[in-house]
Order: sequence, then structure tokens, then C-alpha cells
Amino acid sequence: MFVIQINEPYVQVGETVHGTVEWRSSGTTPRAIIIAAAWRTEGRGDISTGKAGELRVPYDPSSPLSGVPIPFAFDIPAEGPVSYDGKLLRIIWEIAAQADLPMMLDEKDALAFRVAVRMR
Amino acid sequence: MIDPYAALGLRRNPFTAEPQAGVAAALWLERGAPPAPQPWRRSFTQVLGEKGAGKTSLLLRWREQTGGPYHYVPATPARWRPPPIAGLAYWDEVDRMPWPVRATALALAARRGASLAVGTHRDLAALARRCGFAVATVQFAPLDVAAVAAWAALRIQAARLPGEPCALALPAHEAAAVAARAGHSWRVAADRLHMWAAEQARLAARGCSA
Repeated sequence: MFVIQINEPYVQVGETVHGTVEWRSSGTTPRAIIIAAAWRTEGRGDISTGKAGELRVPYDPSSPLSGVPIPFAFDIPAEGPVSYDGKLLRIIWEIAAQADLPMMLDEKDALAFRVAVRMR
Repeated sequence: MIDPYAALGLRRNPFTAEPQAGVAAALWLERGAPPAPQPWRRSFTQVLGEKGAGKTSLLLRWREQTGGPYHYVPATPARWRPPPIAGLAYWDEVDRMPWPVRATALALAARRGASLAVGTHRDLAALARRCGFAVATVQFAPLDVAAVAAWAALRIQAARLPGEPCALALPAHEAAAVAARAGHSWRVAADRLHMWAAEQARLAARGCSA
């Protein structure tokens, strides 16, 4: 399972979202832990997605990945998009975490945060 | 609030569009459709209805039970591609097929004794009979209040946050309004329900009663 912490869940476009992702193994050894700041649409139309950044931490026998908080910092593009909750469409920003597991389905989790317009 | 739907005890809006065609088994609502056609019966079962009525969903549900190739006819030059013929084949949006392709494919399928289940916006019974098929037509009744309410309840249940009480329930008057507006189209119903659920989430996030 993942424990995702975001330092400030409300950021403005052009700012940086910081936090940590900790993966707690239930016995498997991942090839890597992948962390991304990503957005997706959800609603009554086709799904669109995008990423502001991705961090891949490969498995290192000398440094176990389980139980160790991995810090991240992703710059949110100045052009957005901004988070949006509409009647037919949402734009959702998330910190998405994925454990690349050999010979089985990858473990995934995500935690939403809000991206707002820049306030002068 | 980061996620207004969490205020209702939901992971998301229950009425989002699915990226893939078809309906998951847990969300299927029985509305009296006949059982799946049988292979090698020289039968032509047409699922006739307007956009959003559930033609593709029914074809894919039958196909889960019977197997067989599924052929979707796009609104592009690829619609000229000949469809597969098998013991039981599923052809969707068959009215898009150019008539020479459709007539030839039907004649070939009938000659082989194959069965077809097709989704179509136009009645193709006359052509199918001329080719020698035994024809059955499935048409959907307009959505009624009970169907909309049951359909909505399934989707709300599927969107619940584990271990959290759910504060979203579709009132009868809303179900009636959706049914009246939607006619035969589940797609229109889902659009209306999505907007309704979004408004309930907005109100709940602001701490207002619905």
C-alpha cells in the first residue's frame, strides 16, 4: 500500500507541489516506484490526461524501497490546466504512485490536490 | 474542498462515461431483453434503436455469454471492410455499412447458415428475410421512472467510498424528470444524472442540504 502526503494540497499554476510517497510492501519487491503529478478529465466526455512530471526510483538492493518516504517536487505548468468541478466535466490533478511489480499487476494509488489560477 | 464528491461519501460522480463500450456485470439492469441468439441457426437478430438506447451494451452482454467475433462499423472509409462471418457474429452500427458490403455479407452469412446479432438504427428485417434469415427484432421501451431509479441506484452504489455512508439518493421526482427528458436514450439520462449528482456534490461540499 501507498501512503501519499502532499505538503500543500492547494497550489497555483506555476508553483511547485511537494510531498512524499511511501510504499509499504506486503512481500513483493518492485522493480521501481514511479511517482507523477498528473491530471485527467472525468465526466461525460472522452478522457484526456497529462503529466507535469514523473519520478522513477529504481529498486536498489542496498536501499530498500518499502517503508521509506520518497520526496517529490513537481512544477505545475503556468498554462495549467486548473482543477475544475463542473456539471459535465471535472479536471482532476493527482499525485499518482505506482509500484512496478514483476510478474503481477502493478500496485497503484493516487491522492488529489487542487491547482488554482494564479492570484496577483 | 479537494473532492466535493467525498462529502457525499463517493469516490467520483457515479454517472461518468466509461472509456470502453459495454456495461460491467455488476451494473447491468435487466429490462426484459431476450436471451442471446444461438449459433448456426441462420437467424438475424437486430437490436434496433436510437443512439444511446443500449444496443451496443446488449450485443456485448450477449457476446460475453456466447463468444464470437464483434465487428464495429465506423463512420469512416473503414466501413467498407467486410465483416467477419462465424457461427454467431456480432455486427454493430450495421446501417453504416455501404449497401453492397451489407447485402453481400448477409447473403454469404445466410448461405453458410450462420447467425448474426446486429445493432442498427434502421430496420433491416426485409433485407435479412430476402437473404433467407429468420428475423427477430429487439426494441427498447422508453425509459421509465423505475428503470432510471434502479439504474441510478446501481451506479451510486458502485461509486461509494468504502466504509463511508452515502448521502446521494435519487428522488422520485428527479427520476421522473430524467425519464421524461431521456426518452429511449440512456446516454441522455446519464448526462442529466451527472449534472444532478454534480450539483448535489457542490451543495454538500458547501455544507448545504440538498
